[in-house]
Amino acid sequence: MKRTWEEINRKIDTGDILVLTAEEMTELTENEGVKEACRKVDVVTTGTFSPMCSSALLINTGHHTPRLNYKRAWLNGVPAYAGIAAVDLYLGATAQRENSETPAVYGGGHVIEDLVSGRRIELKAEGHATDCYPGRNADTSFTLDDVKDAILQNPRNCYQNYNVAVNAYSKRTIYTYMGPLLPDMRNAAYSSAGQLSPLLNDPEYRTIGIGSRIFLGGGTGYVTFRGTQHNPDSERTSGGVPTSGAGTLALTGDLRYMSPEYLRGVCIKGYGVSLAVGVGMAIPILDEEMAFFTSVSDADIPAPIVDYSSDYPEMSGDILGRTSYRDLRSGEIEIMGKVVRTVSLSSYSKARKIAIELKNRIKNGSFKLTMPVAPLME
Amino acid sequence: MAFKSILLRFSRECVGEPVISNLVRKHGIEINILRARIHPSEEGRMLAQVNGSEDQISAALEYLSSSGVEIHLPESSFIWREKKCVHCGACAGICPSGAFTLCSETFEVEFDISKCILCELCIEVCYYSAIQSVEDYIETRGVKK
Ligand code: SF4
Ligand code: SF4
Repeated sequence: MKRTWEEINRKIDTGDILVLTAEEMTELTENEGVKEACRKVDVVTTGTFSPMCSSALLINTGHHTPRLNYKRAWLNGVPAYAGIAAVDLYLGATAQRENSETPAVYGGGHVIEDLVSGRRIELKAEGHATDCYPGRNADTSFTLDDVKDAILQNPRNCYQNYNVAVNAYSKRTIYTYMGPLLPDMRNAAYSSAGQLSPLLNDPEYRTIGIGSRIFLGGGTGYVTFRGTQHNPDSERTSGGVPTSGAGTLALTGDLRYMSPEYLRGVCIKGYGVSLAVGVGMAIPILDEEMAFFTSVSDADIPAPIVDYSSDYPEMSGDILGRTSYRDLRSGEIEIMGKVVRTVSLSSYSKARKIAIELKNRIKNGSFKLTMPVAPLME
Repeated sequence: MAFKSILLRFSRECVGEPVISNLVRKHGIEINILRARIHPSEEGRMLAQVNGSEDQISAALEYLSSSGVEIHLPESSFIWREKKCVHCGACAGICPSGAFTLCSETFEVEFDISKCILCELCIEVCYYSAIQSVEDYIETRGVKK
């Protein structure tokens, strides 16, 4: 049983198509087997919603009078990178507001959330003051409707799998990007959406590649390249699932069509600020192998447990053990004989919502699949 | 037996009175004070959990109001700002008292104020500013009935 991309898109046009979320697909394959699921199902949708620090906004504010070429610029007090063309700015999600509160509670991620929520943003800037761009200073404000372009550009999202973080050795609570970790391993933090996660349903990147159309932040986006730190060669289970980090994606999309429901500024105590991003991908069931990959369940996905008090910062490479997403999601895992409560950073309920939303878009014909123009890595 | 969280505001006049010890002595309820700020020169505020039979609690609350204490019964909007919540469940993973729990079906969090001991650990893990401190709550909502 095989399907082509064209066939699937034709089925989207006619509306005669079976789309399941990754959770539903897991259930179906458990009951009816991979072969039967492959025969029935055309597309499987996935979702994830989690802080993704490597996220940013490329913004073109439109020109000032007189013309001004940004030398330095701040959006709501958060510094944006101005070393590109005249009125282009690049705002990183983890940039913190300057000269204000410590610890930082507001940053680039919050500016992005404010913009997509329709709120007004203060812009302060210094210009290079050249003959063609004489402007020296700008002090103004704008909303998303006023700017020429606002493009989300995320260099590294959708980590295929991730560490489970604990504090094994420090006697005090440590504050990490995985949240506060209590001493004596009293909690363990994890972040993947597991069986709903995009790259865990296409672990060998057979259908996700450069040019894939995706759900991004509530709107539509594209995979533009492999993400930074993409590492397809990491160790795999017999089912092809990576046992740690592995693949990543670079994503982009027009902020104008996104929604604050799926883009949220976050403030991580003792660490900094970031942006939580909702991403969803549609996986075509081209053949039985894709049906098998999308049948993955939380029980099949292992995650490494890593100490963040010394092993992670010192890059020792040691892991304390392995667990699975089924156990993580149960609320408790066992590490070296100790029962430890688990804390999730990603929202499973939002991941589920995204997969359902994407499924509905495909069913009503507003989201078509695109075949990648090139694989993530050649 | 019932278990209730109450937020009290003492006017300057009644700050000197032993209302709380009367509450325990005369009305036989248990009281667990979670937060208190009481100054002779200004109005006082106290957040407490009371434990007793329904009748005992209503008699105790009546006694408090007759002594000039303003009573406010916080709802679930107390500290948890559901609108901002993304249901990541981080709070449920750290809450020691079972006030925040993650439903294993819907994967959405639920908050039961009567179990909250105000340790504020959840505030530390909430990335989305969906949990506010009692001080912020009092500030934004006042302690009006
Ligand atoms: S930690 Fe915050 S955002 Fe996450 S479930 Fe709890 S209240 Fe909601
Ligand atoms: S303050 Fe403490 S007891 Fe109350 S909900 Fe938060 S973590 Fe639980």
